[in-house]
Formats: sequence, C-alpha cells, structure tokens
Amino acid sequence: MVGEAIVITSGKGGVGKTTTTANIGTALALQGKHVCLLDTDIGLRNLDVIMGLENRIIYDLVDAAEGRCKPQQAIVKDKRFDCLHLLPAAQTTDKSAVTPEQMKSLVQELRPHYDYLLIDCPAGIEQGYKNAVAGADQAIVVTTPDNSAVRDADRIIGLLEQEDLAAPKLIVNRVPIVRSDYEDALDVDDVVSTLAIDLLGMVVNDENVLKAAQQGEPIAMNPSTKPGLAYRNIARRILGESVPLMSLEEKEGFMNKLKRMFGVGKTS
Amino acid sequence: MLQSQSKQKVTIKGNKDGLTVHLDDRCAFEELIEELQEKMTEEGLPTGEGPEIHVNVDVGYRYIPPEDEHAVIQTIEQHGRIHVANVHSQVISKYEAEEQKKETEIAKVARIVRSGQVVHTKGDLLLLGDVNPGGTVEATGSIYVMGTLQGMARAGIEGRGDAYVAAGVMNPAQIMINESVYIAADENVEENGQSTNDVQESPCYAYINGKDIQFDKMRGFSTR
Repeated sequence: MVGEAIVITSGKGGVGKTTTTANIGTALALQGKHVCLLDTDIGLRNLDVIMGLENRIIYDLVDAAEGRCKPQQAIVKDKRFDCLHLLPAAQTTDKSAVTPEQMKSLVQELRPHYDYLLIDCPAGIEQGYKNAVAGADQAIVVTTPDNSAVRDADRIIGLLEQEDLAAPKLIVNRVPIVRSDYEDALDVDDVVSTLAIDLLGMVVNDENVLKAAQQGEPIAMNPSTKPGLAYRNIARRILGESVPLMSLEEKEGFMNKLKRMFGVGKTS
Repeated sequence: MLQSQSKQKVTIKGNKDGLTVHLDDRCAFEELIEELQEKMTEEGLPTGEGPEIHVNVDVGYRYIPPEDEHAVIQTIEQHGRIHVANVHSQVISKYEAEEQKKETEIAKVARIVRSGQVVHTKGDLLLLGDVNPGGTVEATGSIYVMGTLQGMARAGIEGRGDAYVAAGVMNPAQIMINESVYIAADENVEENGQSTNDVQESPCYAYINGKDIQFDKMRGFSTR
C-alpha cells in the first residue's frame, strides 16, 4: 500500500477541522480502508478526545518525530475499528517541537502501512500549519458559510497553491438548515464561487455532531443523522466513488431537498 | 584652426523655443566639457542683474549617463543667470528602454488573487480571474479585472492620474488611483459580501473626476 496523505486545514479556528478529520477517518474505516489520523495540533490536542482515545495514549507524535519511539509504538488503535489508528499530538510542548522535515519523514515512514493518512492541521498559518502541510499530497479546506471563515479559507488556499500539492478540495461545514439561521449565513454557491475550488461535500449544522463528539463517538458512526451520512458520502467521494456531486447542480438538489424536508416538517 | 574646431563641438543656436546648446556627439566628453567651460567664461555673455535665461541642451546621438548630465548642467549653470531647462538625447540605455516598454505594456495574469496576495505590475494589468476580499492588485498604469473585483485595486501608483480600474463585477473594498481613494461604504462590505445596492453587476470602470473617484458603466466608455 502507498497511502495518500491528506491534510485537513482551514486557517480559521473552530470551523470543525478536528471533527471533520475524525469523521472522515471513521467513514473511511467503515469502508474497510486502513486509515491513520495524525494530530499535528501539538500542545492543544483534541482529536484523541473526539475519538474517545485519550486514555490510551502512551507515546505521541513528538516522541516519534524525535526518534524516542518508533512511529508504530506511538500509534493508538481505535476502539471500534482495527483498521483505524491515531497518532496523537504531544500535549506537553508546542508547535515548534517538530520541524517540517521531521513531519515529512514521519509521513513517509507511515505511508506504506495505510491507505489514507489524515493530517489534522492546527489553526493559523505559522509553524503548525507548515508542519502539517509538509508531508501531505492533498489538502481539504474546511470552511463555514460566514465571511471570516471564507476569508481565511481563501488565504489558506492561496498558501496551499504555493505548495507542491494537488488542487485543494472544499468542505463547507455547519450549513444551516433552520430557516432563521439561513438568513445570516452566506449562500453555499457564493462560497464555492468565491473560493473557486472543487466542492467535496457539505455538512449541515446539527447539534448531534457536538453530542457525538462529547461522547467520543464520531457522528459518522450514525448514518441516520444528516451529518453522519454527509461524512460517509465525503469518504466515498475521496475513494473515487461516484456519489455524484462535484457539480453545483447536485449540491443545489441536496440543498433543496433539505429545505423541502424542513418545509414539510414545519407545515405538518 | 583651434578656434574653428571648438566651434564644431559646442554651438549655441537660438530658435522660437529659446536658446539651444548643441553639443557634438563624436568627440570625447572631456573635450566637450573643456569647450563648454571656455564658452561659458567667454566675454560677451550677458552679465549682472536681469531675468534668468533658459536654455535647452541637445547632445545629439551621445548617450549621457546621469553623472555626465550633471556635469554639463553644472558647467553651464556656473554662469549665474543661465538655467538649463532640459537635456535632450537621441539615445537611451537598454535598461531605460526596457522600463519604458514595460510602462506601455499590458501584463496578463490568469489566476485568482486571494486574500493576502498582492499582484504588482509595471504598465497596465489585465487579470483573467477574480480579486477576492483581502487580495490586492497594483499597477503603474490601468487595471482591468475580467472577473469580480472584491479586494483592493491600486492603479497609477507612480503618479498617473489618467489610469482607471475596470472590472466585470465591481464590488471593491478600496480603489486607489494615483492619490485618490475610494473606500466602500460599510454596509457594502459586510452585508453578505454580495448583493447590496452599490455593487455593479455589469462591467464598469472607475476613474478620477476632479479629486474623487467616480464609477461609470462600461457602455458609452470613451477615452477622455
């Protein structure tokens, strides 16, 4: 296997990078893929919390990067899937503890053992971002439909274009479905046309995502929720399956369906 | 003999624009300065109080670097009442020629100018793409954005007041032409980023009118 390394980034904090990483990882594992999640948010790790694996951490990414242990030793296996692994960030130090070169060789070392390596990038465009991007082949940009997140996503896409990566893909997170929230948010079409990159998927704003994260069980485990299904679809698109989309019409259809569902729910 | 030679190197002629000092372009520069020095200290030049005399200097096909030009001006202006209006040469350096060429060229750029990015060009800029919020385009000449202009555009940054900014969809945060600045009204920038009244959906251009920047539809565009 030659694993593909995908960095998940956004620029702005709090748009759902870590949640997205956990859920795409879970959804890929559901498809039987061997996946390793790398948390590069050194000093402020929480991918392990969302995955519900914090108690099992022995070594971390910094230990592995500096050669205090083998990368395989630092890896934590998921509770639910044998094929889903996590390389947790260190909590005791900060972003400058690792260099982009170390990250690159760490990714190279893990690559043969997995189908996908998902790198959770910290917020910002400094050292942590540079580390996260160093080893990646591809990038997924996460944004929410509001001006500041889109502005930062635009900045990040500009920076990613300077790297030696495939064209980045977009996930629009927390798309509102309640009509009163709808007024305040940007239209997804506008977001996509401003950023001018391919849309990989969008995830509706749903409180169940937060609840699931609280319980340490990613929402992707639960396909009866809309976000759960959305993450599964995103995973299938990453695998190259033709769950259509990519085209705006498909996305429009999806949105309209949601709107209709809401409309029906309201009147009945 | 010596007298006739010197007359060939430095000649002063009067025409309707005033006095022009013609400098021979075949001899050594040192000889020229020597001659000029002699001419300027010659008897018969107007002295004492009186209005300043403006002269033009024509060096013909001689390339005259800044320090030589300075020497010529100094030699002539040592006579208190004479002022050199300009030094004219038929020859410019390759570097100057290239700079001049850039000034008049249109730089074509095909990309999206994203937040935090700056595109700077000499001459005019033709951008095939958008300028997103937070992005900046700069040119010493005019700027043409084929897509949507949502960021900042600075035209005529080295002092050309006749420069303009044109865009397919005009929704800029700021436009600067030479020294004039247009800043979008607050509600323009924040309200959903789009679809507020001031946005020009049809192709439109901005230019300096008096001191302010004015917008006009591309229809009926005429070179002023």
